[in-house]
Amino acid sequence: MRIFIISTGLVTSLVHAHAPSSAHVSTEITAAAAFTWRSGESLSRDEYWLPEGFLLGGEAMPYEKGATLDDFQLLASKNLNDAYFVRGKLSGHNHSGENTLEVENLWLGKSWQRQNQIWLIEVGKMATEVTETANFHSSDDDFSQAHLLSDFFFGRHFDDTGLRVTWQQGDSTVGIEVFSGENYPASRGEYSQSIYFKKNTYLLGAQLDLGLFAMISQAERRADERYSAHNHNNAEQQPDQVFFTGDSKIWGSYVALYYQINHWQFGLGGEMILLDNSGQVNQTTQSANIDSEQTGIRLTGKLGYHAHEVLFDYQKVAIENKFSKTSSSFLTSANLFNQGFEPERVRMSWLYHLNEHILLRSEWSREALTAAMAKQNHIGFGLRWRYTLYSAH
Amino acid sequence: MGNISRCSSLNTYVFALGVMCLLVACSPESSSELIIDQNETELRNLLNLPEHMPLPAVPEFNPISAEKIKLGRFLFYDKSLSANQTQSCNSCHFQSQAFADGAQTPVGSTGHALVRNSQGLSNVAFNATFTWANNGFLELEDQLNVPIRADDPIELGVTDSHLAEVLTRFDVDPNYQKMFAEAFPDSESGVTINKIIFALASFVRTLNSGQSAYDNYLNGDKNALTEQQKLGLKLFNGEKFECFHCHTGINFTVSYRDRNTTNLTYPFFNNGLYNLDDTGSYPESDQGLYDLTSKDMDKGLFRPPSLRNIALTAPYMHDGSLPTLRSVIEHYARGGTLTAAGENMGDGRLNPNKSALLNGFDATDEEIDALIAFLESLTDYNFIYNKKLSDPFKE
Repeated sequence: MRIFIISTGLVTSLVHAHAPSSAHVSTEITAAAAFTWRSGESLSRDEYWLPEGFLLGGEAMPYEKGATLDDFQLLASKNLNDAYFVRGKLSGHNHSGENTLEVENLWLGKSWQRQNQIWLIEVGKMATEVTETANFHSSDDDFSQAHLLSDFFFGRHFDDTGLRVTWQQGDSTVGIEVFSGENYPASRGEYSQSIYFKKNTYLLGAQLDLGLFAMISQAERRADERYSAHNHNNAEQQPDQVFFTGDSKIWGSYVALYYQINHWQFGLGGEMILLDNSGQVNQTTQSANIDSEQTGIRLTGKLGYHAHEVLFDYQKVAIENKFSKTSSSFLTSANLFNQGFEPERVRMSWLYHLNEHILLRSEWSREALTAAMAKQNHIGFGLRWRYTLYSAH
Repeated sequence: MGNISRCSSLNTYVFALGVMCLLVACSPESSSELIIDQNETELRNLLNLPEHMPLPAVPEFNPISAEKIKLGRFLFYDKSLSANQTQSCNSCHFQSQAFADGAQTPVGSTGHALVRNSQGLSNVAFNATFTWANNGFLELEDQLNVPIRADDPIELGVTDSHLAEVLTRFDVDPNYQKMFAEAFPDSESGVTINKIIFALASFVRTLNSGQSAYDNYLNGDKNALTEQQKLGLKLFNGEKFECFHCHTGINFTVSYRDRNTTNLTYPFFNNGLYNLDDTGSYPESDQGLYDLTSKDMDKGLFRPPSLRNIALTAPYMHDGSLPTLRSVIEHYARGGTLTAAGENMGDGRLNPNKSALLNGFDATDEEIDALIAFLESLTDYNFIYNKKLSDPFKE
């Protein structure tokens, strides 16, 4: 049975301005970074993160113990005489002592205004706008660690080459996207298409953001690129790749409520995402037909006073798999049997806005990422920095 | 008014909190279900397949039936199938040796020496191709023509000149008349070579091994393997020995097909056994896939066999030239075999067609012992003693 619930909780990280992403683009350059020290790691470097029954991909890697550069971003935008704009992002991170830097986004866009409607067309390598959850960056988020929903549904970041058309009127936005399939859960050349609706309004004195979206992706022999393209793992033995061929349909909804009175801030957020996979999974020799329903929920609360904020966050993902035309030995060897394990994470965080550029973070999290893992507690301390290096205004 | 507004906002938050709690309470749970239909269960019973094994591909032109299997079993063990009535399929495929024969290379019914080692028949229903090196034999029915009808070398010797005589033997036997009629109820003709081959293929498809100690380990009995065997399993699948590159999956070979395989490949590899005069050649009597394609790059390419029951099917390689499992592992550890003198002189390690996967490795005696112990865990005693596969003439 399909579940489609519009939750009335909130997601604090969604309380951002939700105008069409690039309708009014100024010329500026911004840098952002996040550093965190963590007391422990969910998995050792000898292990692979293969939660039973799930097909992960993208950049969904477990976090490591010790101090790391979680994320670095250099964002630039240029308004070209209001005729069109260019935006780009250079991003990097540190993993197992290796530093990577890449052009994560580079795209062009043009907007038109007709009466009280804004139309926007964007083309290039860009992030999806269906939900902020699809684009986790530690230097953008209240938490240093990616959300389970980001990892399990979008491979942590969704960046792809494609086209987006957005319409906005008042506080409502509708967008349609087509991407070339470079990002999980699609595979290159197989395409993904999405549609979304957002509303940013006020309800009984509180700021209300809500969104609904749907995404369809196609994949042809999609591998788990976390452990095939580049491998930060120290394990002696690579897992036998599991390839997926088929369709992935994602539906999601989120709601965020935010209220400020004097120096107090209150926030509640919730998001629910459903993913249907239908197709075939195979290894070197054997295969199985798969029909699965993956469900993720995230609930967040925030209480703030002046420059201090305390956050609570709960996430859980579940999978219902149905296999046919296969054997139990294949399902076991491919790690596809899940008899009651749901990855889960609960965390609390204290944030202190040192100034307009620097945010200090203290975090505690408790999580179980595989069935074999006992629940683990970690603490982390870090900072998030954001600075506008140049602005035309 | 302000108080009313704040009160309304508070009510909104309380309501939202309540729905949050409800959402958490009703959050979904994970589960996995393997759907098996009645046809699969019946097929599994016919093919002697335990539940954890996949189902093999069965060609539409020769569907499986209990009657065909029964007929095929009799034919497999019946020396009447050879022209001079001195050999049967069983003459080179003994159940006690996982349907291999223990000889380096066998001799046919008329005394012709064959150049290739008799392969064990464990799980041949899952082969992607058949014989040691033929990329055109994609079904058992294709391959069965060779040992029955070929004249160079002669195996069972049912050549064109002897065909009618052999068919008549079965046509006039009342027991075989009944079995052929039951196996092919829609056919009005008597015994034909195609019916013999179809019945034999049906029986051979039931030669399935899946109850070894390794299978028990796979199914959750963590004590089914000794610590030494577990070490061997780890080495087998590790990045040093890398056996898994060619011998992986439920049947321990990449030359694999089951009824759900969509990305079918026909892999053949040169493993550096020979390199005559450093030209990449193998002995002229058998150059593998090259003998069919005449392409130099196919010299020395052979199909990787399944390793199921491998401890019972010595000697090894396509020509039976390696006598023991240890000699096989040492061959791969060297990265090939150096033949220092004689007609096959050459350094197989330098064969230009040798698979890039074979680079050699350092192995201690302890590691080799562990790997051998693991390979021995693939022996399935239920298979070699299964009465459903044994000689029906001795019942």
